[in-house]
Amino acid sequence: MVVQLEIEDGPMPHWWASPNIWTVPDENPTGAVGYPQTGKPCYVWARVNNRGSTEATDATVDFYWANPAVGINPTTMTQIGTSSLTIGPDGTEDVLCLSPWYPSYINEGHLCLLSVVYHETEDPLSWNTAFSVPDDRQIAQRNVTVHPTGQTGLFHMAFEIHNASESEEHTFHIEAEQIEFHDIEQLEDLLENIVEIPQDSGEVSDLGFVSRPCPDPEDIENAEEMITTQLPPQHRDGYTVVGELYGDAAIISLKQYVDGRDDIVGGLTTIIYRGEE
Amino acid sequence: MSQITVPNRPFATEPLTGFMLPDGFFVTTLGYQAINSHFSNTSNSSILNIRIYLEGASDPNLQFKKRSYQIPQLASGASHLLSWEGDFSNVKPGIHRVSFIIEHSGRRTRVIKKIFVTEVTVDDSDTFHATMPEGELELTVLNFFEPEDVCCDFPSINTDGDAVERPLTHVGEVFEREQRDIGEFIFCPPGYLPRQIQLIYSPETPYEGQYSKFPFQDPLWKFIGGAAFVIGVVGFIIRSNQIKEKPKFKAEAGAKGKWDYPYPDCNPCEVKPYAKGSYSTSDGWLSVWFTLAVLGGGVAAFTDYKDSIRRGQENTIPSDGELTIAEQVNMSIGYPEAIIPGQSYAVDADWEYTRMTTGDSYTYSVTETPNNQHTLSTYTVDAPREIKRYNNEKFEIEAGFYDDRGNPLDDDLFVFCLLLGPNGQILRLPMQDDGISPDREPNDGVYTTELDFRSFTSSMTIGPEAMLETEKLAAEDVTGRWIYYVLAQDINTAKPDMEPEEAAKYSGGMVLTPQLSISVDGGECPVSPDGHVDVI
Repeated sequence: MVVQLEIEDGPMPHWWASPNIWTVPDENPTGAVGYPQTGKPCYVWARVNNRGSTEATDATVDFYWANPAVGINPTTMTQIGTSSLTIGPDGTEDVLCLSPWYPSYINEGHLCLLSVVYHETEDPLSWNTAFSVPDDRQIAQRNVTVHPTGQTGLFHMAFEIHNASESEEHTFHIEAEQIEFHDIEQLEDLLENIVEIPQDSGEVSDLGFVSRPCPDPEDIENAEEMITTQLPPQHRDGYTVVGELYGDAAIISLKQYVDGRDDIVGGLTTIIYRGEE
Repeated sequence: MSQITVPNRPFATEPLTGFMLPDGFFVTTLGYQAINSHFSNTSNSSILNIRIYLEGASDPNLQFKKRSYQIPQLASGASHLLSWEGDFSNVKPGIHRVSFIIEHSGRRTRVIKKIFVTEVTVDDSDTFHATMPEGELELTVLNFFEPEDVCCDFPSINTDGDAVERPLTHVGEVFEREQRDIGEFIFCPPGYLPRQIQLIYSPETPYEGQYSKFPFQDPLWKFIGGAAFVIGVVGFIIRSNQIKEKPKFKAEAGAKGKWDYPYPDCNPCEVKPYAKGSYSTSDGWLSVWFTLAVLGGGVAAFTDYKDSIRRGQENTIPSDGELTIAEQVNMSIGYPEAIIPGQSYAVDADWEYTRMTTGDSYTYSVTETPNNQHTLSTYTVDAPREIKRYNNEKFEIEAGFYDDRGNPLDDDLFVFCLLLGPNGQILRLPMQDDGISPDREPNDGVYTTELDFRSFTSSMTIGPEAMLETEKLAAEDVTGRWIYYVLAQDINTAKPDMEPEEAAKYSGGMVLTPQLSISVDGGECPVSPDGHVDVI
C-alpha cells in the first residue's frame, strides 16, 4: 500500500517550466489563467498526481515564490500559502492556493514559483535543506516569463547568476537557445490578453549575451554565444540576453550548468513577443 | 456543479463551551476556534459516498487541522454540519475566504465562502476595540445591572454536610482547574446585563455623504458590538473591583433577583485586574458561557432592527463638503421583563446617535422598546435516565424544535449537547437533523446525537493539543451522574448576493434555549439543565 505524490516537471531538459503550476491573475481565484502582474493579486494552482496504490488522505501542498538569481533552496523560498488535498490512487487533482500572491518587481521580473506536495506519514519529504527539482517528484518549479520586444523585434532581457554557496567558488556556464512552442504547455494561457499566439513560431537571430544591462545595437552585434563565469561564494553577476525576433512570438530558453557538469542546474524560459515594452 | 451546497457563511464556535460566537464571526483574540459549516443536498434524491474537506484559506496565517469527512449518504434536502479546528491567533482582521472540496458521484467541486474575522482588544480604560478593515469600533460599558446577592462560591456540600449536586458545580470546578494564566478568577453567575454603553465608530477614512460603507461590506456591524460586548463583559467583571459604583440589580418594578444557591456564607466575588494581552481561553469560556445566554437584553436593542448607527445616518444629513470622522451611540437599557433566551422579551432602549464631521455635529435620539426576534416556541428533549455501560448501551438524545404552530423549524440551527460529567468532564456533542444515524429523519426539526460511554471524543479542552482527543476511559471515570444541556443557536442565513442593507438585517448566534434566564422581579435565576443520566 503506497502513496506516491508527484507534481510533474516541465519537459526535459526544461524541467523548470512545469505546466503543472499556473497562475490566475484575477480577484477571482477560479478566473482565467494568465501571467502575473506586479503588485496585483494572483492565485497559484498546482496539478498533483498520486501514482501510488493507496489514497492519500489530508496531504499537504505548499506554494512558494523565489528569486532564482539568489539560488533556490528552502531558506530562499517565500511561502505563499498551503492547501490540503485528499487524492485517490492513480488520481490527478488541481489544488488551489487560496492565499493570494502579490508579485514584487524583483530580479527584473524573473520570479519563479514552486509547489511541494507531501503526506506527513505516508509520503514525507525526503529533504530538509536542499532539493533537486528534476530528481524529486514532490517538487516542481515554474520559471517562465513573458517579454515584449517592441516593434523593432530587438530585445534584451537582464538576469543574474548567483553563487549561493557559503564557502566554495563555482564556475557557471549559461547557454541560450530557441525552443518550439509545443515545448511549453499552456502557452495560450500565459499569453492570453497579451498577444495572440501565432500559427508558427517566429525566428530568433543573434541570440547571445552581453554584460551591460542596457545594450546598444553594437553590443548586440558583438554578443557572446555563451557565458562562462567564475564566482566567489555568495557573489552574483548580471548579464543580458539579447537577440532579434522575426515574426510575432518565439520562445527562448536559458540553461545553467555548474563546474563542467552535464546536468542542468537551473534555467529560465522566456516567451518573446512583438509588443509594446 | 455539485448538488451539495454550502448554504450559509461558515461560522465560529468557541472550543471549550461549543457556543457559536455572535453571528459566527471569528475573533483573533480567542485564538483557537472551530470552523463550522452546513452542507446541504439540494437534489431530489439521496447522494451517496460524499467526501468533504477544507482545502485552504486566504490568510496563510490561518492554521487549520486537516481533516477529510466521509458521509455515506445524505438525503434529499438534508443538511449535515462539519467542523475543522483552526488557530486564528495571527490572522489579520477582515473578510477572508475558505475553500471546501466536495466530492461525490465522480465529481469534484470547489466551494469558496467568506468568513469574517475581527480582533477585539481591551485597553486600560476598559474600552474594547473591535478592528475591521473599514474602521474601528470602540465599546465602553459604563455600567451594568448585576445580581444583588452575588455568590461565587461553589461548595460541594451543603450546610448539613450532604453532597449537593448542582448544575454548575462541575463547571465551577473545571473552571477553577483551568484558571491557569489568570490566577484566581472566579466564575460569577448568573451574569451581568448592560445598563449604559457607549459605541464609537471611527472609519478608516473620513467619508463624504450621508452613509458609510458597511464594515465587512455586507455586515452586521451590530455584531461587532456584540462581539466586543462578549469579551467586554469578561473584562468588566475582572475589573469590577475598580468600579466605584456597583449598581444593584433592579428593574422598573424595583424588584431584585438572586442566584439560586443562597448560601449563608456567600463570599463576594474576588476578581483580579485584567492585564492587556493576557486574554486566555478561560475568558472565552466564561464570556461565551453565560453572556451569550443573557446577552439578548442588550443586543436585542440594536440587533433585530436596523442598527442604531445606520438609523442615525438616515436621520442626520451632513452639509455639503463635510466629512464624517466619527460616529457615537450612547445607549441606556432597561429590562421590564425577564430575559429568557428564545422568548420575545422586551427591552427598553434609550439611545442617542451623534455624527461628528469636519464641520459640525449632528444628533438623533430614539426611545423605544424592541422585542427579541430570535424566538423559539417549543423545544423537547428525549433521552434515557440511565445507561448501563456494562451492557454496551449508548446514550442517545433527541431534541425537537418547533414554531408556534407546532411545525418543525425550517431554518438550520446550530444545536449541541453539553454534557458535564461526575469527574469534571465537559463534552460537547454536535446534534444533527440530517437523517444519518442516529438521526431518524432529516428536516423533521428533531436533532440527534449519541455517545458511547466506553470511549468517546473528548472536547475537554484548552489549546490545540486537547481538542477532539479520543480516549478510552475507565469505568470509574465515567460512572456516576452526568447532567446535560441542549443548546440551540440560530444561524445567519443572509445570502451572498443580498445587498448590504438587506444582509445587515440578518444575524445569527443568538441562543434560543432558555436554560439560563434572568428574572427582574424577584426569585432565583436558575441555570436549569435539560436532564441527567446515570451511567452505571
